[in-house]
Order: sequence, then C-alpha cells, then structure tokens
Amino acid sequence: MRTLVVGCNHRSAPVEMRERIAFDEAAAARALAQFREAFPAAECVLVSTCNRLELYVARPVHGQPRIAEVMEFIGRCHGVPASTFASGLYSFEDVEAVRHLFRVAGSLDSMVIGETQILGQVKTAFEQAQAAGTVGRTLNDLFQRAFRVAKCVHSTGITAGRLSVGSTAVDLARQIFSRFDDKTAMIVGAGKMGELTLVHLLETKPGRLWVTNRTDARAAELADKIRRRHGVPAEVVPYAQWIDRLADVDILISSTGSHEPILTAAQFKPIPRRRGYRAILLIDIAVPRDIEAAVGEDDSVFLYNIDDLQQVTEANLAQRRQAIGRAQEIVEAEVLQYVRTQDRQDLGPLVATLRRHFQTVGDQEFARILPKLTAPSQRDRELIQQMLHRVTQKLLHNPIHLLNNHADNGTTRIYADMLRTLFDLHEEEAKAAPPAEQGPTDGS
Amino acid sequence: MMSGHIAISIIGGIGFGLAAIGSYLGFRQHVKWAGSLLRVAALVAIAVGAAHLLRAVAGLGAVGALQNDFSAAVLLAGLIGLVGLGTHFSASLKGLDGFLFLVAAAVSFTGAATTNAPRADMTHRPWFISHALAFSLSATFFIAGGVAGVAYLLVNRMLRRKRGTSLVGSVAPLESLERFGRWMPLLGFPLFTYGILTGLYGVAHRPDLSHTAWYLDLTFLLSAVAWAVYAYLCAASLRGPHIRGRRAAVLSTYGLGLIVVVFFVREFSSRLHQ
Repeated sequence: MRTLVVGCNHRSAPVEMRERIAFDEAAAARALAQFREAFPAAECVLVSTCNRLELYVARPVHGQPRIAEVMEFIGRCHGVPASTFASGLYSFEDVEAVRHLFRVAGSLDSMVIGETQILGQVKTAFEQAQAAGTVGRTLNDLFQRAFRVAKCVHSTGITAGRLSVGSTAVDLARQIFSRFDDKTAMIVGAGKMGELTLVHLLETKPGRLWVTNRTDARAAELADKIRRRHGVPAEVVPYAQWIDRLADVDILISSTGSHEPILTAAQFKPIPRRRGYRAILLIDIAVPRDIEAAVGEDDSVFLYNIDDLQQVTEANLAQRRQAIGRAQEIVEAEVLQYVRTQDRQDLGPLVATLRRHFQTVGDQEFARILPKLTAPSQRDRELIQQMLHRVTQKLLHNPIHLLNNHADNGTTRIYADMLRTLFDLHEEEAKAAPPAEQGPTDGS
Repeated sequence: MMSGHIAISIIGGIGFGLAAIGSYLGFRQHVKWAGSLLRVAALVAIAVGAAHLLRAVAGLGAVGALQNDFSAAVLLAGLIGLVGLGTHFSASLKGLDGFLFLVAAAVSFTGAATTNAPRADMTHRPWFISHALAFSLSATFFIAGGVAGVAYLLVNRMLRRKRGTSLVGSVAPLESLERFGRWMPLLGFPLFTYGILTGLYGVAHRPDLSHTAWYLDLTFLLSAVAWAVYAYLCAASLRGPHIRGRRAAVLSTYGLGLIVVVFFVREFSSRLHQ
C-alpha cells in the first residue's frame, strides 16, 4: 500500500479558503462514506480542525486515488472545482506523508507548538474513520504508531508550561493554592486585558468574585457581562473600599489606566497581618504598573507584573524550543522504523510477481522450443523444465537478497521501483494484488 | 547476622531508591510505568523491613528488637516509606513521595553501618517499647514535615524566580505543602515529648548512670534543642499566624536537620543508648 496526504493548514491557506473546504462532523461522515464508494480498495482518515484539513489515504501500489483525484474528491464534497483551492493545498507521499502525520500528531506542525489538543482531534478523526469503515490495516498501523510517537514527543517537555499571559496566571494560581472554592478573586479596573485574564482565572471556579473600578457603572457593566457570559455571580465593590477588602482577597488582578500606583507598600503594610499571613497572588498587568514592586517583598505575597508573566511565558516557550530538536529526532527515528516495517510488508507481493514473471518467460520459451525438439521423452521435458527453474532461481537470488538486505537501511523502495520498471511489473503486480482489507478495526 | 543486616539494608535502600526514581519519572517524564515501579519497589522495601522486625521480635522479644539500632533504623525507614506511599496516593501532595522515599532510602542504607555495641539491660522494662515507638513515630512525622518544608521552599523559590512554569502541576501547591507541614509537627510533638519523658525515666532507673553527667550526652542535648524548636513551631502554628508559609517551612527544615543529626548521634555515639 502507498500512503499519501492531501490537505491545508494555517500556513498554507488563508482562513477564507480553509473554511470553504472544512468538514464538520456530519459532513466528514458523509465524505468518508462517499470515499468508500468511490475508492473501495483504498483507506482514508479525514482530519478537519479549525487550523487544518487533511485527508490521509492508503491506496494499493497501482491503485487509486492519486493526489489529483483526492483534490477533486475534496472539491466534489463541497461542490466546488479543485482549481479554486488547489493553490492552498499541500500533498505528501510515502515517507513524507508518514513524517507529516507524526509531526501533526506530536503537535510539531501546530500553530502553537506543543499544544496537546491536536492529538485528541486526530484520535477523534481516526475513530470516526474506523466507524465509517474506511480504515484498513495500513492506516490502522500508521495511526496507532502516530499516537505512540505523539506520547513520546510529549515526554520531551514540548508541552510544558503555557504560552499566554492569562493561562500562565492561572498556572501560577494553581501552584500556590490547592483549592479555589474557598478563595476570593478580585479584579481592579474594567480593561480588556484584565477581563481576558479574569476569564482564564474563572477556570479555577473561585468561591467569590469581586469587581471594582474607578467608575462604579463600568464595574457593574463588567460584573453583569461576567454573569451573563460565564454564569459566575460577581459582586461590585466600591472603589474607595477595595484596599480595605484586600484582607479577604486571595487573587487580585489589577489592570487600570492609572499613571500612579494604586497600591503602595505603605498601603499594603497592614494587610498581611490582617490576612493571618495567608498567601496572596497579585497579578498586575497594567502599564504603568498599578502595584508598587516593594509590595512583593512580603513572604506571603506573590506579585507578578506584565513583564514577569511574559518572562514566564518566554521561559516556557524557550523550554519548548529546546525540546523541539529531541522531538524531531524521535519523529525521524519512528518514521524510519515505520517505513522499514511497511517496506518489508510490501516486498512479499513484489517478490512473488517477479518470480512469476521469470517463470512465465521460461514457460513461454519452453513452449516455443518444444515443437523443434525431435521426440523428447517425458524425462527430457522434466530436465529442461528443471533447468529453466534453476536458472530463474539463480538469476533472481541476488536481486531478492539485495531487496531483503536493503529493507534494513530504508532504500528498499528505490530498488523495488527500479525492479518494477526494469521488468515492467506494474501491470502484473496490479492484477495479482488482492483487494485491500477494509472494515472497522479494534484500534488495539 | 551482619551480612543479613547488610542485605536487608541494601534491599530496603534500593527499594526506596527505586521508588524515588519512579516518582521522578512519573512527575517529570510522565513515564507510564513509573507509578507501578514506585508502588512495587516501596512495597518490597517495606515488606522486607516488616519481615525483619517480626523475626527480631519473635527472636529477641519486643524490647530486645527495639533496642537494636539496626531494627530501629529499619522501623524508621519503613514508617517513612509508608508515609511516602500515603502521599503518593494523595492528589494534593504530588511530588512529595519522591523526597520521602529518598530519606527512607538514606535511613535504610545507614542501618547497615549501625554498630552492635552492648546494650543496657532493658529486658524487664516494658515502658521502653513505648519510648522507642514514640521516638520512631515522632521522627517520622518530623521528617515528613521537614520534607514538606524543603518542597515548599523549592516551589516558593521557583515561583519567585519567575522563570517558566514547567514544574507547575507536577508538584503539590504551596497551600497543600504548608498544611501538611503544619500538621506533621503537631502530630509528632506529643509523641516526641513522651519519648523524652520515658527516656528520662529510663535514665533514672539505670544505676550505671546515676553518678555520671548523663545530661551532657549529645543525644539528650540535641533532643532538648529539637524539642524546643518543635515546641516553638507548634505553639506558633496554633497561636501566632506570623509563623506561616516560608518561615514555617524554614523552621521545619531546621527541625529536619536536627532530627537527622540526633539520629546519627544516637546511632553512633550515644552513651545513653549503650
């Protein structure tokens, strides 16, 4: 079987093009059914996410579909000619296709390298194709291997840490507090950035949420918005009281447009004692800063300003970059191993065809000279046939031995294709090829 | 006998060491089989120690077994290992098991180096059993609290350095570590006090010590210092909120250091225990 992938992602095609050829779950199920009808001997998995659309196909060596046919198939599913989106598509075959899938599953091809969502999406696509009966032995082996590779890639640390200011703030909160249902979060200022960070923080489900702003009406507006959009009740705290209320706050997000610090060390000094020296997380994402740096000197205070958060995300990113090299090495090693296994499996039918080809030539020559011989006995016929068989075996011994040996260094495919061309085996092999195994597999 | 002790020490030490490696592989490398390695290795180490203790009790009696330095080390290592296993199964104390298994491994290996010096005659003193058990249990609680303190300081440092959050989610949050670190000394202190009192009672009934300055014995002096430190820590955590977070963790760590020193002094140079 030959593997190929045709698709587009956030780098190859703009969003307008991606949305034109995207598949939702129902459309993907229809497309898989259509594919099975159109190419019964081939296998297919359709991965469609917001950032990519890819069709992974395994077809018999001399069978269909080829790349152009897959492109046309995508167009047919959406009722548009392939020429309208072909410029945004990429395609890979054989080793390149395997490498691409391993990179995609391991999130090395993602917009945010190291995000783990893609692995779940690929698994879902695979399960959908299994249910639709478009996964056979080749794609089953390939995808199971891809899931294992993804796990190995994740273990390099490529998924460590988060990369947005908001999610980093949540990570920090989770490292400080063990539970949040008894915690109080407060946001000072009704700016966009603060709201975004707060939305991330709502993941932790804090027990109480307080909102304050210089203008009470804007605070009420934000509280109302949070209540409507996220279903979290938020209480408006009058701006004049917010410092006083700090004694009860565990997580503070500050994001005002003030040109002077709104919380000085002197104002904060009595707070730790009033809090019983419990830990407090202060996230200051305002520029200029809202909270004086000296506030963070207290043992119970964890103060992060926008630079600190960016420094943390940069460090996370650097760590991921460091892991990329190791992850790529893992992918390359796995690609080589997979291709070797696959080549060995493809070798059997080729060797059989080659033997048959030589045997046929021998038989033809035997039939041609037989009438020219003067009354050959049965024994003579047998001896000539034995001789032809031995010659065939001896002539084939070296090429087959070579093929088997090269299955270990990954160049089998070149030799196999060369033999096919030299002895014109394409048609013969296609005729002899059994229909591809189809139907759902257990995924084990 | 000595080679048997060495074998038990090595099996225990390697078992707890492997459990610590399992913990590391689990929380840093996300290796699938790390949890199984940890549990099997720790259970083997604990089982070997328990078998030794049962055999010693059967052969020497409870007093004789507990009087033996090697058995005391095995008991302590086993108790620390058990706490390690407990924290392994607790979602809010992630990562602490590795530290505890490391300490258990160190205690186990140290057991191999204990001397078989002649012991004071305690055969007819059943109170000695509670004295030895109280010390072992209190040491276990103090060590667990100290380890939580060390973990707290490491996580606290990571958070204050503001360099990446790769460890986030792999180790227990500060709040859990602090709570665990506060409870352990509170549990260990009454037992420690009881251990000291029964020890003093034992000294009072030993004629060979009646005319000596036994109160200058290093074990006694260091135990008294450790008692004062933990008394302060317990009083502070019950009454004064200012000893919280980093300060409490630092104190617990000092306490852990003292307990380690007491353990070594008791094992190798205490006249009171000879």
